[in-house]
Amino acid sequence: MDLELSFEKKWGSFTLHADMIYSGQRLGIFGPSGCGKSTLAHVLAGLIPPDRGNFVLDGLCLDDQASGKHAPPEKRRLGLVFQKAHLLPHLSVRENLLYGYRRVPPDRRRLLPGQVISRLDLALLLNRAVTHLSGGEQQRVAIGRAVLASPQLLIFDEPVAALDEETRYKTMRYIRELCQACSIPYIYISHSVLEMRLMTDDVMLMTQGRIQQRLGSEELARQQAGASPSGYCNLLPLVPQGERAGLWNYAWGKNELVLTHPPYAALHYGMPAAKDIVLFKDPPRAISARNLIQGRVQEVIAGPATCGVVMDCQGERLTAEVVHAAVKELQLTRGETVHAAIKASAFRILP
Amino acid sequence: MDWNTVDYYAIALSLKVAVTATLVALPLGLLAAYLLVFVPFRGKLALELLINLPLTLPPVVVGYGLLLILGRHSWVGALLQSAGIKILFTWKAAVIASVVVGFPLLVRSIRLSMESLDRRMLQTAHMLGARPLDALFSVILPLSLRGVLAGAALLFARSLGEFGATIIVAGNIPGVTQTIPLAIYDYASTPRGDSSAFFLCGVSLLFSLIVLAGHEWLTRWLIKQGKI
Repeated sequence: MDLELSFEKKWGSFTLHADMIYSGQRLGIFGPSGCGKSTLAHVLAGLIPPDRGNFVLDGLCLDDQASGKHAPPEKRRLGLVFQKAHLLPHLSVRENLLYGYRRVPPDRRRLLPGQVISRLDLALLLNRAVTHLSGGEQQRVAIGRAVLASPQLLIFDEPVAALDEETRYKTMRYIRELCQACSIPYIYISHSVLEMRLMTDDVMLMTQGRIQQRLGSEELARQQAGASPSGYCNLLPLVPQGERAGLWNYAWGKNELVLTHPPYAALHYGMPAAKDIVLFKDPPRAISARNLIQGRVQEVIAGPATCGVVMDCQGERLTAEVVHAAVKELQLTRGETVHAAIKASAFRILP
Repeated sequence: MDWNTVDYYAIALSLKVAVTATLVALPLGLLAAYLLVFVPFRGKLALELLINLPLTLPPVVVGYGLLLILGRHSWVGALLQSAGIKILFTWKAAVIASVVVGFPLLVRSIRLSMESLDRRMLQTAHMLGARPLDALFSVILPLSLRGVLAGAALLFARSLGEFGATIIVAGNIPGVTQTIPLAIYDYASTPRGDSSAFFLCGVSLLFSLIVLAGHEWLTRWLIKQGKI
């Protein structure tokens, strides 16, 4: 997507100012509750006209103050998925899925219903009434319905906030894989740093109705680490390799890791907290932790109480959090070789 | 009970007037409710007052107003007369009286249903490419069906019982414009008309019960089918 917008919207005492130029596939809008993220989504979708400003998507002008143009939502070719699925209760799952598809001219349809239905594992639910679906299933139908309308851009407004933890990560995985397979760019709105890291490459940081900063999702995680009780968490893509002696082996790039957690599917994310990683200058002779990884220090980020030591482990990035005294004692400077110990049980696994 | 004295014409005319009034009022009621709920425009309050006025006015006043509007001295009456259309003192006038008097009940019921509709559902339909008219038929109407049914049942029942406005604009002409309530009024003031009046009261009661039970049954059936 190539997106260019600059507009203002007053909403009672609240004013939304949005200015951004973005080119990419996976954009996040991050900010605390009430900062104007959802209002921004509504203005982009054409559900609320801006007071002034312009919005151009892939060279197509959707809002233009000078000419007074405001394209209505049904002509924008944007998909919007809310926190709740908002399925039409008088229609079956199949009819809900095809609601937008049937309204797209055949020459503009980019996907076949079968493709989307199979990717979202909806084949067994097609004839069910939507009122008989679980929250996660309903949201999958809403995602499929939005994708089948062949949008130029999808907007997800906190799409997993109302789901339980396990369903939340599974649903995010469905969104990620489906949008990647169908080459649909998206804007993902959330106040969760973890969701930003899993779902986006770039993030626009919003506070009090303004876009304050643009940064990478990893950078956001480092910036926001202090706000979380667990501090910074590493997000490592893991490929299951099988079981050995009651533990599970995973490949992390060229490294091998041993975890106590069995796999869910072909790819996972392992999340060891940076503060649970112990660093050694020389490899220890005997150690109870099952994972000892050699790395080279890339960067030491000094915080008020602790330091973040960023390591390169055969091309993969790992961050450990240690106190200032440890950095001094171990002489942790850029280029130094260190050994990181992580317990097999210290990983939180996400599907 | 002498079955030869039963006023079959009044029964048939009442049903004809109620069915026609319901069929005529439904599309107008849907349009009025849609305008009041979904379309911002100036004069919304005035339209709302106009629709609801017959609810608070005595029906005789409503009937007299209709008489003035449809009479030959008004431009509407003159227009109708020049087109060769006769309304006053025909069964059509009874239909108009029923529509006007029952209209607030119909609109109120549909409107409540439309107002309780989740706006996000409508927004989603627009985002999926549904234009306003498409969204009206594919989302708003199916999801307001309960209110539409309740409103139609209320208007039908109100029409069966309509007296004050009907007697003014349609008169009380036996075999022409005499509906059940007008016939009961006649029989009640006629010597030896008690049994006929009593019989028509029973028919009115039966019709009312059928309308109410039919509405309940239909609503439950639609809920069971997952349609509302």
